[in-house]
Amino acid sequence: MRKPLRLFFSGLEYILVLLVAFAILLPVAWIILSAFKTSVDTFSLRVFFIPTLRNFSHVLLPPHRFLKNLVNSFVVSGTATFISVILAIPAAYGFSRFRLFAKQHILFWIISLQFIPQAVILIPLFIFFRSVNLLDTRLCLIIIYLSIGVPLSIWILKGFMDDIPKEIEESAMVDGASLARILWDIVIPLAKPAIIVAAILSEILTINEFLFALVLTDRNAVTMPIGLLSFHTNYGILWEKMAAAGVLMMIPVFIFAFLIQKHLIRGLTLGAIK
Amino acid sequence: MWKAKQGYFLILPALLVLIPISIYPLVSTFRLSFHEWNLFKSKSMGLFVGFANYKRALIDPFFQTSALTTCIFVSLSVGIEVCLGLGISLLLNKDKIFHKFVKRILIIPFILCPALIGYSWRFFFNPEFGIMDYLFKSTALVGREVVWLGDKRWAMAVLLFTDIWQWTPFMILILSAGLSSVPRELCDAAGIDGASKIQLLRFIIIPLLIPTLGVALIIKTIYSVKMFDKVFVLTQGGPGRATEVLALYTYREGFIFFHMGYAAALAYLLVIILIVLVTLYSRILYRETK
Repeated sequence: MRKPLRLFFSGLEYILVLLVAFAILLPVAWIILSAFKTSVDTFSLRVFFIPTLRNFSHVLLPPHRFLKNLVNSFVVSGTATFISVILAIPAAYGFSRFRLFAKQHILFWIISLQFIPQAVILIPLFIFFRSVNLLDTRLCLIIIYLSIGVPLSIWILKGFMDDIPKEIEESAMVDGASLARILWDIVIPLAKPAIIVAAILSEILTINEFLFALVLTDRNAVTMPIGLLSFHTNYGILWEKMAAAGVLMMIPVFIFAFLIQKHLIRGLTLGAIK
Repeated sequence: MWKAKQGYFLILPALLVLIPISIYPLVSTFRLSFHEWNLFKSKSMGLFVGFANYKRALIDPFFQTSALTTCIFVSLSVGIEVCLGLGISLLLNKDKIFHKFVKRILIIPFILCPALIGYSWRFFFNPEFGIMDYLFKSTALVGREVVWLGDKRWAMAVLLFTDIWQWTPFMILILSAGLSSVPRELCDAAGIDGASKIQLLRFIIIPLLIPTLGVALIIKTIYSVKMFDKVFVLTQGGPGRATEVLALYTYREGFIFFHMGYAAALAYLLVIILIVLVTLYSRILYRETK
């Protein structure tokens, strides 16, 4: 290729890559900027303005309930994640090592749970929770979030455990170690990276979940995503306050994601892409 | 050495938790879809009505429009995202620092809360003070008079745009993973034999990417069919019913009007659509790779 032409193409390439970066970052940057604006500045496109922390204090202090929503979110998705991982570790190990009846079918069923429309799960559970007066409690959300966390964790952990060589466990068995001992002393330490990935992914997915929380909560157990709806008032949408709440939501999720970013794609495609 | 009995013991706790929150609802919703039940009026399930709920759906004009809207949304979002994802992943498939940095920030849209994205884009497209509104109108891509979310076509376009912003990075990441497994030697050899860039793409890279593309296509189609949160906060199905997708219509029937039997039938129709799509895709892909 002639030199000027090549220069033109590599310049074009950089411009396109820059455009991609810009397209991704602009909306996020704009949310963060808006969070520090006064309500007057919100209605302008100004990038330079006198920043204020009023939105954050408005969102976090009573009478606004966002702090409560934040606590709810962390309690609900934290508990659901914790239970999911605790259940998934032995299950994944069982699926990885043992010959079980209809194993492939059970595994396929577990992976396909992710693809069922939420309404199919939600309708009967809503009716059930309503009949036992569990609506609008953290407990009912924790229960329903297990349907997200458990399959995800089993799948991630099983994929990882398949790659761990059996020999260490077998020699431990020969030495007379019990299954519980092997799980605790050998498998869990070896699978620790995968356990962290599974936990963080299930945390991210449950903390962002919308439909279940929308239907099952009303006032006391409202989580952050549903809490955003409270900025949509009769007087219009309070953008700058919502942006402040959005920034508060972003921080933990960003930290989680950057901790595990290499494994994120493998996890989200349930191991289909390595 | 690996006694099966112990294996069952290990998976039992997880199954005991999964069965009541997945198998039970699946069966229960199926049963419900053959019954009449308005949760407002009575506490127990109503009469058995056979296929009446399904028949009702097929003649319900609102179901038809929302099914059509869902089709439009799914085909456009999946199509555009796969094409854009493929293009950008080829663009980023280089070992340069800047390219790597862009790959790192690609996960941001994907991990943001969809409800937050929906509201933010609603804000960005506000005709008076929205940043996107400003960008599009100042570059004269659209006319001054467009009221994004108040216009049927434009509301759908904004919804698609939002979805594309959130999911294209995911496509890029999946396809980049696929691209990195294409052997370098193969491309070099083809280059030496005088293949052009386009031939390289057409005859080597794309065929090798087919399995990855298939996974991406299936996953995204499923999520597009199920998409609820963004449309709920962005347009609430409006203006009119222009952006009311099936998931939103089912939600309205079930949890606003409490027509449980009908909502259950709608949910099952969605299941059928998903099953058909996934089998179709896997058939096509299987044939391609064979």
